[in-house]
Amino acid sequence: MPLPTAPKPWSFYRLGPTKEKELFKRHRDTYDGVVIPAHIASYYNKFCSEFIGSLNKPYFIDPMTYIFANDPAHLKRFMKDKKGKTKRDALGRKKKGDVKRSYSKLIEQHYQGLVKAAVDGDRRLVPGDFADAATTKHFVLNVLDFQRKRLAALPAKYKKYEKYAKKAGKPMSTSGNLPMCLVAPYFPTTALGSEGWHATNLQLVQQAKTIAVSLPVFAMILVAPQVLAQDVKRIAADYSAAGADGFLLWPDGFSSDQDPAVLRVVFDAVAELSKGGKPVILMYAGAFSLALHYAGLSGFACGICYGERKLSTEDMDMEGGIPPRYYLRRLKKKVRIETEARRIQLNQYPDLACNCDICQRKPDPATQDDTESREHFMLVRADEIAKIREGLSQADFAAHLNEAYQQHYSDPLLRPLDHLRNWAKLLSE
Amino acid sequence: MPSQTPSAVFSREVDMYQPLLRLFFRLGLTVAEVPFFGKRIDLLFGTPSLLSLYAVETKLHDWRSAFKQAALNQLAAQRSYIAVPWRLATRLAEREEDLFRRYDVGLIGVGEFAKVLVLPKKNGCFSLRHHRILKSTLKKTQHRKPKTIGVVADAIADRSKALVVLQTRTD
Repeated sequence: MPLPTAPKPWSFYRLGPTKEKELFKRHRDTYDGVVIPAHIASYYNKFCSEFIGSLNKPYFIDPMTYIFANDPAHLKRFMKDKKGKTKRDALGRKKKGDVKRSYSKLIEQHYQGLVKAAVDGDRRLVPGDFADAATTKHFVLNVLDFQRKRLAALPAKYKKYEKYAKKAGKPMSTSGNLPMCLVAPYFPTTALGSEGWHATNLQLVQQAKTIAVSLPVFAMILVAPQVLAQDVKRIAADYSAAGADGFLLWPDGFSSDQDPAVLRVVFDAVAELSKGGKPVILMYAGAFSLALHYAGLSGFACGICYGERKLSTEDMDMEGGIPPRYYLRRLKKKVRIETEARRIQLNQYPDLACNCDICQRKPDPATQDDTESREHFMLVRADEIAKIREGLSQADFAAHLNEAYQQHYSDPLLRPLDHLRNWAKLLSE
Repeated sequence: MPSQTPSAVFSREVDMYQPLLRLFFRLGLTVAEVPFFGKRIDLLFGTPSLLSLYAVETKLHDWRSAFKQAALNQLAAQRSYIAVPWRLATRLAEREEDLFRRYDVGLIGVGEFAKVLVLPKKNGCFSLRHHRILKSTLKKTQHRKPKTIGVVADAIADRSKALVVLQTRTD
């Protein structure tokens, strides 16, 4: 499946908990593509193949290689009790077990080589591990091969539909359901000096380009915002010279509500990367991505109403599920349904009312469940994108943000709204 | 209760707890860092039967975020306050009293002593379901021995402990 054909900005959703499958299917017109993390594609192979095969949407696999440069403890699972709470030792520290099964399958069966050696040695990968050209090539080959083949085979149950597809004049692809691009292996760039990963990352992109013949190669630029602030021009030039066909930008730990200086850094980085005309897609992206369209952003990826910020070094431990949240379109923020939506009494704010299908059925957001609030998010986000595609100007977008801020900034229950003012200011500069 | 509360300099929110414990000592149960839908209520005072709960959010400077949390606490507690240093509290009582009254949030000024400057009210946001959830969380503390604030102040300040039962009488 090639890159999305819809006008920009493209919206990608990252596959998370399996109960999202129905949301992806029911609202397939609200987004342009899907991101599948490699360990999910590896561990839930049959589910993902069927899911991607039936969805008929562009997708790519995030190879997740950065995690092997983290503390090896991050690969290990937190030990849980029967209620799903993390067990603790006598000193109150969270207990860890063995390597997560999803990652162990990815390591043992697919990545192998130097990744397996590092994990077996209970150590993190370092740039020095990539000194040997043959070993590095083998690693890149394995990572790309996994992305190319893992979800490409259409499930057997779809074979029987082939004759009907032919009759309808829409023959099913014989080459399988290929990803829209391959993502070169990547590691976090914390500095551009000789000690960091920058040079290795470029080398990995170059190697990926020579190996991936028929598919575009995208470079994941996982970089701390402070490094972007100092060296964005060099980073953009280096990755362009490495031959990447597109960029996946992951400003480490960045979120839409950060202070204006950081917003400016990301805005400028997108502008710099998009100068060459190659697609730039922001990973773990929040509503600020809508503003980044005006800097040249081609698309953005996040979970369905979650996953809008990620710090690569964070050792995530989920105790219980993500609490349901309701997206307030005008304020470009989410409120927790169990508490905020119930207390704020949104029906007293006519300008915050939503007319999506879900909200027409359940006008009080406090009564929506997790699925409904996420459906609402998909519908509203699609409409926000549609407005941009229809030609909403930068000045008008900034004016909308500013109006919403002026109207509600003093409301103690809707705070904080500083992000609206910051985005509007940045777009007006 | 003294008519005037001399200013005191607080470097941490937990340093304001002692005067607050004295203010609510009649209620009996005092629990700090009470989990509530992903957040923590700084201080929760209750009658032994847990029929009446009083929530207090403390802040040294950013009173607006304490105010919002106090408003959310109204879902589960009959009375909800913010507690801020005396000088800030008197300024708020003067300039923002309408806001506190509009949202039924109480205001406490804390110096050497703590004093209620704006009385809170139980409002229509109170939800029996949230109240019950909070009560069931508090029931976990039933057999815990109350500790003096001095012993657990650091753990409260760095948020490393939840559901800390405090001795109501501190002197």
